[in-house]
Amino acid sequence: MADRSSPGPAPSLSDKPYSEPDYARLRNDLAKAVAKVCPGWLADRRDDLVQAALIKVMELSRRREGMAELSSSYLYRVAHSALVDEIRARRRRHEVSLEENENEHAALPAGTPDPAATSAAAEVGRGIRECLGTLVRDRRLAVALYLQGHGVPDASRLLSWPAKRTENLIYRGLFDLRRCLTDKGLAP
Amino acid sequence: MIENAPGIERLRRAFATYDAPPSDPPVEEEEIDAERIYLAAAGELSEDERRAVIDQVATSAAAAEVWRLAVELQRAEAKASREIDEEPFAAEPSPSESTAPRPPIGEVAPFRRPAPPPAFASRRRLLAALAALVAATIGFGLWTRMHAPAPEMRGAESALETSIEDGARLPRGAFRLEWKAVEEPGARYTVRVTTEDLQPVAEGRNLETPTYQVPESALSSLPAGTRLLWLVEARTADGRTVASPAYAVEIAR
Repeated sequence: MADRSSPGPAPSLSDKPYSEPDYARLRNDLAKAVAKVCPGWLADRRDDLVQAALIKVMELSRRREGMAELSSSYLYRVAHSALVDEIRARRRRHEVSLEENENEHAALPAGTPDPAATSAAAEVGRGIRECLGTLVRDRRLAVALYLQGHGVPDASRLLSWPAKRTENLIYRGLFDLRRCLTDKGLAP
Repeated sequence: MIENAPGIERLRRAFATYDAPPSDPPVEEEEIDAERIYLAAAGELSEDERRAVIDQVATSAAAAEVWRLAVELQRAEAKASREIDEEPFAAEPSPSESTAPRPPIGEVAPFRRPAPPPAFASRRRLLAALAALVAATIGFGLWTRMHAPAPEMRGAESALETSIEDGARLPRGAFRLEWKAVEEPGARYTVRVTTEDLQPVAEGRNLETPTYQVPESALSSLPAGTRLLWLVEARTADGRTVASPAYAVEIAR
């Protein structure tokens, strides 16, 4: 998987001028996204992740030399790429401190989920992905978006299908998924 | 009704659990294009491309995680944009001004979206149209600069230039930031100085001259060699703004 720290075409356009004070907001938004999405083992490294991503964004902004103000949508896109790169890098290194290795019973950082529960959920998660792989494609797409938290209207827009069709696909796909999980002994 | 299907939240939580245990294949072996996923989540790819990305999200925990991050950041960005659109402009009174009401100048930023974000389906077309407009405008701007002796400030095309070398070392007692003045009468400048992790250090507002000396007291807690970032924004009397890029400067030893 290749790193892509700077996303594709930079707009020369400022549809939403982005002034310096908004970096604080961007930082805050990055921190919230990381806290919500990133796995437990990164819990005590969230600040580092956000910081590293933000520095990349600022460096990129500086290199743009102010020819045109960068739009906020572009900066958030850059921030996303930078954040993903940072998470990948830490995953590759499988960052676990020596202290943690030596003392498995060390107190977990606040907000870290229970490892046993996480492990069980991860097993079901793997089962879900395997089962999704066996579904008819259209059902797979609809259910995947649904499991990602998108409602019917959102999934319908993203897939460019009518809402009713999307809803039916989700319904049938969920039925198939449950049956598959049950067959695997992972009854939801 | 699907939205209340039993056990859905449990399924969603399990689907979102990705801890990449050592037994998993190394993440770097997967071909994950974060940029493409971000654009797909924003609805900015073609139908076929979007569906291809969603297909990957369905079976790849790493891709699903990248998608969720994209959605979170897009929601945050949309919220920030809405707040900027809705925020009434309030001019900051200068020290000489008291409570006398002052009509808002209004910030004019060229090419800024005048309304809430465009509808999902028309966003790409709108961006393409705006990009074409900008290209034409910048082209025109370059042409006029080549043919006019006195360059004019043209909003976001212009950038404030500093006369200080980027990365320069300045002594605490003479930590003076300078930049090239805009050729507009009545322009005022705002300077912001932060640490590299964006903690505010000093700020100068409503400056009439293109220079700002950072108070020594603001630097007292920072060790020598600390690298700071600064930028300046100019606002003309008629409300137009132009900002510099962020420059680096270091506290001399």
